Amino acid sequence: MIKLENITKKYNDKTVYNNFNLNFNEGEILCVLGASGSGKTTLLNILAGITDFQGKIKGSINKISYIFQEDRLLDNLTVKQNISYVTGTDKGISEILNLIEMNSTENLYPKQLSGGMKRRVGMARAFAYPSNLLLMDEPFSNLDLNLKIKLIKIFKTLWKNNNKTTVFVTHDLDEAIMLSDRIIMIENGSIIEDLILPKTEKEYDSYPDIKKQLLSKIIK
Amino acid sequence: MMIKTKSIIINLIYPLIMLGLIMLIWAVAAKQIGSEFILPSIPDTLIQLKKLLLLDSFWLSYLNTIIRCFESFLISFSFAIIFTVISKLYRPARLLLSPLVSVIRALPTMAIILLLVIWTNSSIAPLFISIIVIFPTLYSQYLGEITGIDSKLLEMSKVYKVPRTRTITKLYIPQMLPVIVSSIGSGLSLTLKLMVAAEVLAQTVNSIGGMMQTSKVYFEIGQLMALTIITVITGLIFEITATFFKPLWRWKND
Repeated sequence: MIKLENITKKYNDKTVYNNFNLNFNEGEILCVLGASGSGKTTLLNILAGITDFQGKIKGSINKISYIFQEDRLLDNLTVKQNISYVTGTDKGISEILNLIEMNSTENLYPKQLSGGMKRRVGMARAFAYPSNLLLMDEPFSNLDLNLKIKLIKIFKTLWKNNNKTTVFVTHDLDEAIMLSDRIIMIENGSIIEDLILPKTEKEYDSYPDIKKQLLSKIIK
Repeated sequence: MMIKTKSIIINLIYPLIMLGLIMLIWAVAAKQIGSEFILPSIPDTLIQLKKLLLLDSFWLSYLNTIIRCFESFLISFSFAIIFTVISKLYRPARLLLSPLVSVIRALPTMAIILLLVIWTNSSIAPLFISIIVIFPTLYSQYLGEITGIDSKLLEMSKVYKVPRTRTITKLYIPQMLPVIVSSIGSGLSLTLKLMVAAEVLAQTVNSIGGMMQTSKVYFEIGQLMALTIITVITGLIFEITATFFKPLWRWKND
């Protein structure tokens, strides 16, 4: 279990989190849902260790993968080199690119790839890196529906192959329901809703109710 | 392949047209003036150029100027790289260097040459003046480039715990390389111009600038023009050589 205890984060005078607490299980996909400016990305940055904060994070987090909102690929490196830049080895890269049907692009530079392909490389990089926590910051935002569905399928394929503990933030309800084991909704630095999602296909019928429940919180 | 050949032809045609225009203006002006002591004709200048190339003293002067030029640039370049790295690593160093570099840039070149000639000697003065002008230019260029490296890529490297050596070799150096190489070409060319100007003012013996000064004193305008042509061609060679390294960053051009 990973525990965030008494997290406090301030940007100048603005308090984003004040004694915020959160526990989540290893191996689960936790979705952090909330409006823009609710502190979703800040929470990921706290977990990633790229922003300072007060409080404690307990649990076995050794290495972290991060799928950012942008591609964050190095223009001077090929697809394969971009992945080995973080992993430090070429081992396993071809296999992972094969899994997401991108093995023919391993020697291409980011400038030669489409937007969707770059996102896939970002995902492949995150899964190729030997981490035990995966952070995703709105990885499917600003994409057309077809590409979004394709990328979600790719994410599921990669995750099935290597189920890392995942925390991902989004403001898209459907995305959250489609991907998560658990959804928490954040508002003003506090959790206002915490839902465990059904795991078996039989329970998919309950999805509209979950959506209603979340929407009611948003509207309230 | 067709497109590439077309682009090479286009890149060649425009400079050739300009060169033709300059030659035409020169030829007409020389004919109108009609005095080889003011503006020699193109054939007269070419004869002087041929004579010059056969002189041992010319090659000695040329070699001295070029060596001094390389020495000066190498010192400026090394300082620029060292101070860029220090400024990137330590903000106080950057803040300290900023006014110093601004003052060096604002120094009037001619006044410094004259002072340096008094303080040092005619061989060292041109070396210093080139350093004083080139170093701040290179430093500002490199600092701008290194601080402009996408902070998001650095953040990504930090999250993935990429070792510092790998970040330097795969991120910093490749991002800086195009600017460094192009600055070497243009910087050497500018150093040469400054060096020759400083040599003229300092009357440096056995140098291109020194030969130019002698040509001026004895009204050997044909030789002066020939020396100018040689300086221009050398500067162009420096700049063109830098373009041969372009395939090193093909990721930027594809």
